[in-house]
Amino acid sequence: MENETILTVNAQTGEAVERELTAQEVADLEASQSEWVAQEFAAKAKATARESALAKLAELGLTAEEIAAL
Amino acid sequence: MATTTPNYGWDVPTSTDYVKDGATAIETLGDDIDASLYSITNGKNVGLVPLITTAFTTQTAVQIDNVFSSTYDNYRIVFAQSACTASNSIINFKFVDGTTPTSSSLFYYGATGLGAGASAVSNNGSATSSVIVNRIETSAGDIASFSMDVINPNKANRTVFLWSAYNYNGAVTFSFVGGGEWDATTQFEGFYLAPGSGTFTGTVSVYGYRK
Repeated sequence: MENETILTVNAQTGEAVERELTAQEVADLEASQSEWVAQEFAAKAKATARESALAKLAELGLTAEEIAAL
Repeated sequence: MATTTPNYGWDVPTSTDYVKDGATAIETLGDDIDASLYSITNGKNVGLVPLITTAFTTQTAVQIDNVFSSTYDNYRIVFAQSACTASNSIINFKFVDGTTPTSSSLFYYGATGLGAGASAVSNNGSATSSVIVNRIETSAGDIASFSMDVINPNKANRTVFLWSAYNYNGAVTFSFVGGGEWDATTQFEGFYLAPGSGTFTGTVSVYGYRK
């Protein structure tokens, strides 16, 4: 496993300090990643459902203009 | 015989002019320069002032401290990622209050753009603890860069930020334009960036807008 480090740079002095992330900081990053993955999954599922619905409407005989007008 | 400079037409003496006319020639040249600068700046201090540029390698997070102050009201952040170890991830942004990245869920933001095949993509959040400022698609050759204007981060008011971002992994592109705010009157002195997973390598620069 890679070292999970943060580089902190003081813009006034130019001092750069590297340290390992705390457990809380690691947990926060993991939570943000999980939240984003969940959002992406939901967005893709919604897009897939929309495509499916549009295809079914077309099978019912609706034109592209009529579908767009819905 | 006096001549003029090729670009701005400033009056300058030539080598055959009299030395006794030198003081007058310098005054004329000075007036020309003064007029040119005034026409460019309208008499104001203008432009971006470089405050810091930091290159970093395989970091899980990067934090820039003591960069927002009362010296400038508004700032430009330029982030250029050259490599990362994550796949299907994000780049998180937070402000730094004191020496600690913010942890409260007070970010409100939205970003929209285009992804592969011109499909619409978005990143948005309401009452979140960080801002997703860019995506990371794959680790191989991924370029995920953004620039962000930060409005009044060091004042006791709600800080607003506006950014544009681009990501290319060698096969797929994503581009975003977004804006948001920190919904409290916190005075910030810095900011924090971190990929959602893995490490990243790149450069971050900060500029202050002259008042």
